[in-house]
Amino acid sequence: MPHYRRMYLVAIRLTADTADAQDAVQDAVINLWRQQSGLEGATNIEAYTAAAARNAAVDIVRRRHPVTTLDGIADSSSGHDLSGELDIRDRVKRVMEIIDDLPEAQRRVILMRDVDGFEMDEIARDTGYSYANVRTLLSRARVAIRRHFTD
Amino acid sequence: MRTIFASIAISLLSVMSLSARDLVEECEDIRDVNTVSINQSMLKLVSFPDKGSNPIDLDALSSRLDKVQIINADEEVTSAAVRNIVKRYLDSQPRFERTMKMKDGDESIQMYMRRHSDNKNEFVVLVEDAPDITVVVLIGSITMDELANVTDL
Amino acid sequence: MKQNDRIDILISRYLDGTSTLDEERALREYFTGDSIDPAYAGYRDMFRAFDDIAIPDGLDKRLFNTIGRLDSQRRSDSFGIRRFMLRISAIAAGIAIVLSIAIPSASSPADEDVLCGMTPEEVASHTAMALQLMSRTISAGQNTATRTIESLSADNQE
Repeated sequence: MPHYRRMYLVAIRLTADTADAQDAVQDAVINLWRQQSGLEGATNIEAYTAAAARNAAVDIVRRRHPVTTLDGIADSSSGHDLSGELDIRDRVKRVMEIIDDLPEAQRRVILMRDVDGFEMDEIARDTGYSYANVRTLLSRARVAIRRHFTD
Repeated sequence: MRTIFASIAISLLSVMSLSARDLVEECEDIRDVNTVSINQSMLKLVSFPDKGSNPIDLDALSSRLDKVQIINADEEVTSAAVRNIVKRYLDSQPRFERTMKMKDGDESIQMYMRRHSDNKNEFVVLVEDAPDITVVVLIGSITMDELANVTDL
Repeated sequence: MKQNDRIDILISRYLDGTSTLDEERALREYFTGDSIDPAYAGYRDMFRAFDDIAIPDGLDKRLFNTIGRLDSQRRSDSFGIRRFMLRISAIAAGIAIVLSIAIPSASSPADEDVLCGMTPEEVASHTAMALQLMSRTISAGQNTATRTIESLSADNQE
């Protein structure tokens, strides 16, 4: 998965807000740029980018919603849509866990379609799977996810 | 030192435009990429000077051109983005055939050609001289021989 | 067609893997809206979850531009169309770029729209440069091929 996609998913789980999550990824990118010399010899880029996204997201939540803690338990005077936030965090955590548990081929295809919004022929070209195969994989993945959500 | 960051940036590129339909459209809102896109109606408004030495009538030739596009970038990461988009474009249908590949010092030049269903030809020239990249696209009812004769060499 | 029938069809296409991107978007819109039929409660969380994790449009380009901005802050010289044109002429070395261009006799505001902010001179010179670059590339390639063939046959004769 390209780094920025993983960074966005890390951020959205923490911020529970699309705009904040995008800003967090952008801030993380800027911070990584500034640390370039410190990144020399880094072997695990994924860990670095995920950590940068996490830190940036935490900063944004603190800055913009100062009375909300990361557990989502807030002062009742916060005026922030608390129940909405909990739902998003839970949902994102749940769907990502389900997707991560899918067989690799199904996982690739569903991420390309339902997260990135690629056309079927683009997915076929990029993965090397046949169009029919992509369709089947997508169907299986979606049915599996639906089963987890409706149980 | 920059390679680590470049790989982070280049990971962004792997999902940028899987199927480019028009190179300039795909590249034009990337920062620091220069693009020029010229179509038939623009060419109709323009006339070329009478260059006696040139055996080819540029006015007549330009009337057979449908599209002329020029794309240029001169920074490592931006050029990598353009190269990525061009690669995807060259893989799109109908398929391109590489007609030429040359290396002259640090500069590499490649030329591609494909035939469209309406019998028009499309030529793409890719010039790379790191960190610069220049791409020229020409589409029209024009053959490679006619192009070769544009200038005396 | 009743709303529910439509949703049934979309859901069945979705689970079948045959829905289009627009249809999927319509499903996500329905399920993130306010009036969801209780019959579909089981699907609501799933479609909302997908809506949550969908990468926003343009994030990749936005990040890319951020990097570009950071990168260009390090550079002192500015990049302009003049340098770009000089670059093209360096590639097409030895060929005179068209400098004097005939100006069309009538140029109306409608023409300006067509030209997209370029002057007729710019259009002509870009086109001439493009043609000359192509031409030069083809000829250079042919010369290289010819020289290679000649040197190969020279080797064979020795």
